[in-house]
Amino acid sequence: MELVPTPFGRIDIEIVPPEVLQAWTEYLSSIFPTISVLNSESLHQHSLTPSKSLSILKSKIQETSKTATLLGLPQVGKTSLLNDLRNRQVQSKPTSVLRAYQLDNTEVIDTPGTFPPKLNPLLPFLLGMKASQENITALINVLDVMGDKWYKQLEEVYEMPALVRPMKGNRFINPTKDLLVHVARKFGRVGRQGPNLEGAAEIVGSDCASGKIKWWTLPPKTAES
Amino acid sequence: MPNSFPFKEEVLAEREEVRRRREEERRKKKEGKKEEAEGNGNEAKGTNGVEANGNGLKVGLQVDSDDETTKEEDSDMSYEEGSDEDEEYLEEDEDVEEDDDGAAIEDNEESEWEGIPSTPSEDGNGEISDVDELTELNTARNSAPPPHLKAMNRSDLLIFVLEACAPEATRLPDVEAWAQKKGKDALFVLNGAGTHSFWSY
Repeated sequence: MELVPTPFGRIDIEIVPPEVLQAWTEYLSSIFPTISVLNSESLHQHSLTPSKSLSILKSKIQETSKTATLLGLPQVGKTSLLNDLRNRQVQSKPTSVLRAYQLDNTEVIDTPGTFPPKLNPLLPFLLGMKASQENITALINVLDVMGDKWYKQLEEVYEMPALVRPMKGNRFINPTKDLLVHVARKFGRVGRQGPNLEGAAEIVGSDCASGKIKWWTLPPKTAES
Repeated sequence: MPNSFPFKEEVLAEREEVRRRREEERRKKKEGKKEEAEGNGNEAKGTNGVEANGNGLKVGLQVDSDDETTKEEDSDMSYEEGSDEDEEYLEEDEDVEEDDDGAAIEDNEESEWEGIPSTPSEDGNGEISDVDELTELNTARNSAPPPHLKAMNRSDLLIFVLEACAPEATRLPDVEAWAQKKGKDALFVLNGAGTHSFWSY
């Protein structure tokens, strides 16, 4: 989980460590079979390599079906995954129509992204949408579950004093507001009516979406334990 | 515009002229349309086209000469012409809408199912059952049928692609419930694990 500077101004960021991926795989397997796919070489020691994980998925698809449909939210990598399975290196654009491709004997249908009826407050951090205060509260809750060092990450990124931590039963402690006030001050988003919290939320949201702030969620069982 | 504004009269005159030219063009178009409509009734197309064009040009020239001399009349006329303009616009808009709608529907029908031949259901009333299923699914765009339903019905395996960072946030619970109800095989794929490259800034 280190930031690795690479040429051409790009940085490689490790998103999900193996133990978290394993926990999610176990949790989701109770609903449907689950396969994790590594899209690139990891900085951690995962049990799979990108090519191996792809071949497992490919064989699973070909064993079970004649026709398979890829479903999911926009920008989760449906088309990219299909391109990897087909061994094609195509820079994919957002998919707007259904398209069917032949994967050996199986027909795989690629679909445009679908949104669920109720949107999760963490989605702006995944899809690069405009984040609001409600979204930041959801992020704070995630960081709170993950532990104290994740707060320190925020404090380091924005070079601010120690943030207040959420405290159950104390409605006067508001870590979201604390964070947003600091960010608004740092980026000069303070007007006559005080700090612009919505503007600060957008900044934090875009930093999470771009990978400047690292975050991931834990499956419900792990979070409880 | 204040009276002290330099070249006020010239500016106003220019504006008047522009307005007048536009009106003339519209009038020409309207007359041209009328003549075409009349001509299409009985006579041959080739000769009518020539006559109509000739008349249109003549009318246009006459109007030009009138307008240059009388400004006050124009200002009065412009209001009356405004109502004609509106009518014309409405007519044009209607035409455009009809054309656009027609084209849009055709495009959608072609593009939406590109590469996927549609298969009617065994009941014979596939369309109605599709819509019923849709209301059950209750997707974000509830008013229009999601294009995926047909593909989902046809396929034996549904692959739900989830973001490895936050799989729970990227799930589609209603579609999953539909898959379980229909007894379809399904698979979760945790995508995006490993390293992600970003532009540093």
